[in-house]
Amino acid sequence: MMWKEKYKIGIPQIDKQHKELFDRVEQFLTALRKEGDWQEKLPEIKKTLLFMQNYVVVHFDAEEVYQKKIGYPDLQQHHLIHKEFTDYVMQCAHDFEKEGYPEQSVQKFAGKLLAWLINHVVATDLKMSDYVKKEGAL
Amino acid sequence: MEKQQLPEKPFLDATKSVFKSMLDMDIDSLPGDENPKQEENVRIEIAMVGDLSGSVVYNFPKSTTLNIVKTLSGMEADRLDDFATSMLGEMANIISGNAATSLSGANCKCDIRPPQITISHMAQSDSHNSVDMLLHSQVGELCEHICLSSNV
Repeated sequence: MMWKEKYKIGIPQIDKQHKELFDRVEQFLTALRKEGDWQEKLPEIKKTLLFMQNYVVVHFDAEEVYQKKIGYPDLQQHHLIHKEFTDYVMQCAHDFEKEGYPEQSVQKFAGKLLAWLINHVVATDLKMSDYVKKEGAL
Repeated sequence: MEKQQLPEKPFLDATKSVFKSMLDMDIDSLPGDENPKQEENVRIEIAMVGDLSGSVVYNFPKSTTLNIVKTLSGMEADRLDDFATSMLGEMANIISGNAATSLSGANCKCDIRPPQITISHMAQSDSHNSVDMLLHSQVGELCEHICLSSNV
């Protein structure tokens, strides 16, 4: 299982969404990494990629609404990080569609996606959790 | 900038911090006379520009790479494919970005360029003016070569 308890940042509604996001990334990676012919795997890869990318937007939006609600001082910077990554994901999805989902590009995208996401949760989002604990804003 | 003045500490600190947060693992430096593992390596070069210029090269042996991929993805990994090398490229990117942020805090402004990833059989640095760090953690060894010179 990809999700680990150590990824929890201590804000229940955000932790719940992070777990959902990791579950969707795991479904995408499972479809991508299983043995078999690329063309045969492709329908499942496309489906799980779309399922995952939709939730990236939903989760980032919800996280920013929460940050606004608690008066998080780094909201603007956090928003820019989210926007840059969302743009990257959307651009890749667009390029894959246009280029016929080349295996090498999709595998590269998946490797970067997973490392980025884990680091974002355990480093960047943890700063939000530290603020909540300090300010008692939960 | 002389070799002894090269800023290895921000890179060492950033590597320790990223390994701790992402992998939940500590990192130790191995003695300078230890030789890196002679096996296939994922070589990631990240160029830096600004007050310091040059590059930082990360060499992750195959065994270390596959252990990191398994730990982060929770999936079996037995080959250095695009998924694995891209994941390590992003980790090196995160480490370098954190080191650049730390250098900026010390009034040394630098930007990093996207990682250049290749598979190599050599873990040694090809520069005589680099600081080489051989590091060890539960997932195995890695080697960092810092080859930067000051522009200020």
